[in-house]
Amino acid sequence: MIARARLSEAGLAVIASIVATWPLTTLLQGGGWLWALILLVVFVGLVGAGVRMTRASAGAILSAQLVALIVVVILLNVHDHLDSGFLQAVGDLVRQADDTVRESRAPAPVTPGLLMMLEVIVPGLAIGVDFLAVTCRQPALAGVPMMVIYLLSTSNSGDALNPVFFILLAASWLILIAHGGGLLVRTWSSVRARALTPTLHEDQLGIGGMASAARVLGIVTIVLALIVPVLIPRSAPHYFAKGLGHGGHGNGTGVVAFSTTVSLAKDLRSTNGTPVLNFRTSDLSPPPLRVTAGGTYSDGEWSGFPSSGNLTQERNGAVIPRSDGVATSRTETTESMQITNNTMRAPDVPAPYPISLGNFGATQWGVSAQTGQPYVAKTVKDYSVSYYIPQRSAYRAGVQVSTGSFGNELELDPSSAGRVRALARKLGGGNSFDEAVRIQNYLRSDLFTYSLTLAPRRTVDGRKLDPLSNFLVTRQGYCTQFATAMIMLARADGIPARMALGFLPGVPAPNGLYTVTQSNAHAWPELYLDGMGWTRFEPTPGDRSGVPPSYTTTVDAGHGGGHVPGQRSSTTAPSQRPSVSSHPAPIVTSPQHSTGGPRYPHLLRDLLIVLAVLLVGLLGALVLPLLARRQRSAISARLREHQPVEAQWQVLQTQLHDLGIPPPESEGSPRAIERHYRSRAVLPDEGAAALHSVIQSLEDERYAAPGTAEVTIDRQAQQVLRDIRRQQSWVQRFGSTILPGTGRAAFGRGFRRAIDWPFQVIFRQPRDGDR
Amino acid sequence: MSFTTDTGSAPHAAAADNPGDRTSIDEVRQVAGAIHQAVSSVIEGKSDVIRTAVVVLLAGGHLLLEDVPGVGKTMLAKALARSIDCPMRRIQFTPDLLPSDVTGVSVFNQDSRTFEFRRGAIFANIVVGDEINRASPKTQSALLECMEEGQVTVDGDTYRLQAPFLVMATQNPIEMEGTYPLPEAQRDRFMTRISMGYPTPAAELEMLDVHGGISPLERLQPVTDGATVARMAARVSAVHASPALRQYIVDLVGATRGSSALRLGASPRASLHLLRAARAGAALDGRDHVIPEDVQRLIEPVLAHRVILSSDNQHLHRGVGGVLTEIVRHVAVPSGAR
Repeated sequence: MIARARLSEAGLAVIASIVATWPLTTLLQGGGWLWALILLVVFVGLVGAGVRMTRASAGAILSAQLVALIVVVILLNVHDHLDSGFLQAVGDLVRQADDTVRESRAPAPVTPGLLMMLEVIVPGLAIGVDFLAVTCRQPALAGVPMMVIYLLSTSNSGDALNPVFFILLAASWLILIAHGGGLLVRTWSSVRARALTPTLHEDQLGIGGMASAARVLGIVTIVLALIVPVLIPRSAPHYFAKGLGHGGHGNGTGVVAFSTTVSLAKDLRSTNGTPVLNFRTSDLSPPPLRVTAGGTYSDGEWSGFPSSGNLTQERNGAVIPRSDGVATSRTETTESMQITNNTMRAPDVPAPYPISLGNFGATQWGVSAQTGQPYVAKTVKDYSVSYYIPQRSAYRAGVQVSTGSFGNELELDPSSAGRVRALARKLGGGNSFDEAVRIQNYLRSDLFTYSLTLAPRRTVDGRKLDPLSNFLVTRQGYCTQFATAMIMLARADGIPARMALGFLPGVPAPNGLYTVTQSNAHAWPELYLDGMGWTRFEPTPGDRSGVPPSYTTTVDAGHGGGHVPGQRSSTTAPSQRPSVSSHPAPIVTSPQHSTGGPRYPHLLRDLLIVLAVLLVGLLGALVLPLLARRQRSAISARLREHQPVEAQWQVLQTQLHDLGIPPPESEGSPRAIERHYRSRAVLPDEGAAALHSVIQSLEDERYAAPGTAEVTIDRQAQQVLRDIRRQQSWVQRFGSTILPGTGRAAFGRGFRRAIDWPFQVIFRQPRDGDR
Repeated sequence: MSFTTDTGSAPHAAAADNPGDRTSIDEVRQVAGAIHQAVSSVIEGKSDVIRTAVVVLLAGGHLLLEDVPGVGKTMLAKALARSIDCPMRRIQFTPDLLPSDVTGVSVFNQDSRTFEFRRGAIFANIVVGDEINRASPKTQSALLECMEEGQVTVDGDTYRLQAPFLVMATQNPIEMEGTYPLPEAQRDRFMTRISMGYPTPAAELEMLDVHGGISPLERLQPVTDGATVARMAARVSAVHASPALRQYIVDLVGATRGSSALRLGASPRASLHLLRAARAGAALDGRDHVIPEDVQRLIEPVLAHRVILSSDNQHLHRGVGGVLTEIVRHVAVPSGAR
């Protein structure tokens, strides 16, 4: 009983699955989810062991494990919605997982939706490992699902994975195989080797069976690899697919210092999952938290960001005037943000721009007159700020309200000035706001690829390109390059622009708490727009930065601006690339960032595919019974004249097969056949007697002297069939009507032959019958 | 001057001419059952061995008993002989036993001035050759010739042996000094080889009770006579064996020749013996036709002593029985469907 559970093998399979899951820790934040997954993997392993004890078939074991997993996952995730709205809840969770995968980068936060997906995928693959390695005793094949789990991690982290993950996985796999081999060797002393005569049966039981299984597996894999990518609609690029996420190393430090001197690449690369701060806000799309702005550009790097310097002393709760001279009014919208656990080293303090109110407790603080950035005297752990929400309606073309003059903010990088000016001319036109939006959308279009790895420097006309030109040519870079490009393009158009550094807000936990980590470090441009002051733009593509600021995408109701809403919808077709030169409508939303668009554009096509599959199934249900009937009549016709009982018996045998009772694997004596059917079918006494009589007649016809045997067994055969049908459930009867066993077997034989045929031609293997 | 054999053989020969007319299969079954029961009263708990012995008796073959001393080999022979009311002779094979001791010898009669044939121990219905592997090969072959031919030739004169004629040779499986193990070719002449095996503890206990006093052999009453047995043997040879079944026998024997586990497969004589034994087995069950089960049941006693395992360790530990069981499991039973 216990031995049938195969606890040692199941334990090893569970350990192997857990080891394969472990690298996921580099992709996801926190650790609680890992324990949940481990418990689920152990759970499905125990379910498998339990069902194995009952001598169930392999299929039953697998189904039991899958059902148990589905039930538990449902109970864990959507137990509130079991009565109604169940599908809705599941759909929401799946969508949330999709969004998480699409929008975050490693280590991604584990949202409830993502957790549910992991709870399905990882234990599901663990069931595969358990099924192959333990239930089917093919531990070598179990490497495939293990590798799938492992590849989930490797393919999605941009960095090379720590080799220890692979070594441990390989080791646990080898142990699994070695354990299975050891068990096999131990059984040799007590079990007779199966194949004795070399030709007849080795192929069914030993190497031949294995080889054909592998052959079928290989072909199915190749076919799936060809079909699946065609069938599955290609979704918008996201980081799991592109492999641009980055794993952190999880070494927590007490205080976070923000490097403002370098190109940010180092910050982005070395960043890790260490939280910088947490915050709560009622703002639905909180802006990035800025740390500093300004700086000068030189050869691909920004430096010279202003330090706290010239500060205005501010009081908690007092309204702060805009540093850029924009008049503030009561009607201006503000949102507030409560920051906790801030670890940013003083005097820097992350806050959205432009700040309207601040509360930093007892700490002395002020706002830089130059950048509008608050600074603190010493590190503040918890504070709250309010900030203005920029309004598109504030834009007044030609109304310059800044008191200062722009020197640095209009300066072009000399080495790239020519190329930038040319591009700016192409993008230019309209007022400065439209120009800015057009630049932003140009950079956000799918012409550009977000990547932390810069393309190698190109050489044009014998000279190496400067970093900015190289970016504009290769169109590959990260936020610094995108921000720099937008700044320079804006400056070329005469719009003052400056660099801002800070953190993206990240994704909120289910309780609404945002966690900003070092990996959220970000750079974006601020453009000085008449009437709006310094305004944030977001040229970095959506898979890194999320949605662009709302004022750059939506048309304000109160401000005509010459934009017709209908125009916008006509330009958001998913496949249409924003055409830079000829685009009449300046406001273009990149498809993956529009939240209101159809999420599943291929729904109709998917439905058609499903319908086609159903149709094929229906055809099969018609074809199979016909095949079965044909086979039956062929047998009957062949034998009827000389061996009537034999003919009737063969027909009865196919009918029994149709009812789900297959004939014995190897042709035995009639009495052996009777034992076979008695062990497979539940027969009442009359049925058993009828079967015995049938077998007796068969035996007489086969072996007795001619002329002594019965000629017909029809009555008894009908009795047997009737009794067997009576014992079956209606499901079984229905199944055997539309999917008769002989039809299925004939179909399978044809399929196998079709698969084998090319191999036969290529390798010219000797077949069983040759000897 | 010739010396004809016992007169008892004359009616038997007549019965053999038209056996099906007079003897029904049911009668065969009843008589065989009676013999079986009679022998069982002497040999406790060895139903299979007794059945095989009866099968060999009816099939007209000879029996090789291979077992350690003292398990009742001679007792089996005596009981069988007594139950069919036939003379039984026992030859203790020793290295100095001469062929003439087995077959008989012509001696000069001073009175009649003629050579007179003195019949050897072989002239009986049931002959027990004890420890046959102790005799010299020459003597062994003399016995084996009689077994095969059913007649004795001495000094140019041929003497027919009376039917039924059953040789039960015993040999000791434990190798001892001064033995001449039967060569494969001679083993092949025995229809079956069986070993008695030790009795179960219960059977042995009962044996002590029964054999403690008067020997049960003394109380054993004959249940039939030699003439009936000979008639039945003739009837058994007429049991129907269908083409499919004969094909099955050929397939089985052929499989032993092709098997990698066996160095020597079974001979065509083995096929013949298997068919004859299967006929007798079918008749014992009261069937007038042979079915695959009859063959399967007898394949080990009939074939085991004729095949030699290959020296591969992997096969050695399974034993001949295991190999033959595998062959039975893997050779398809022809259905006769054409």
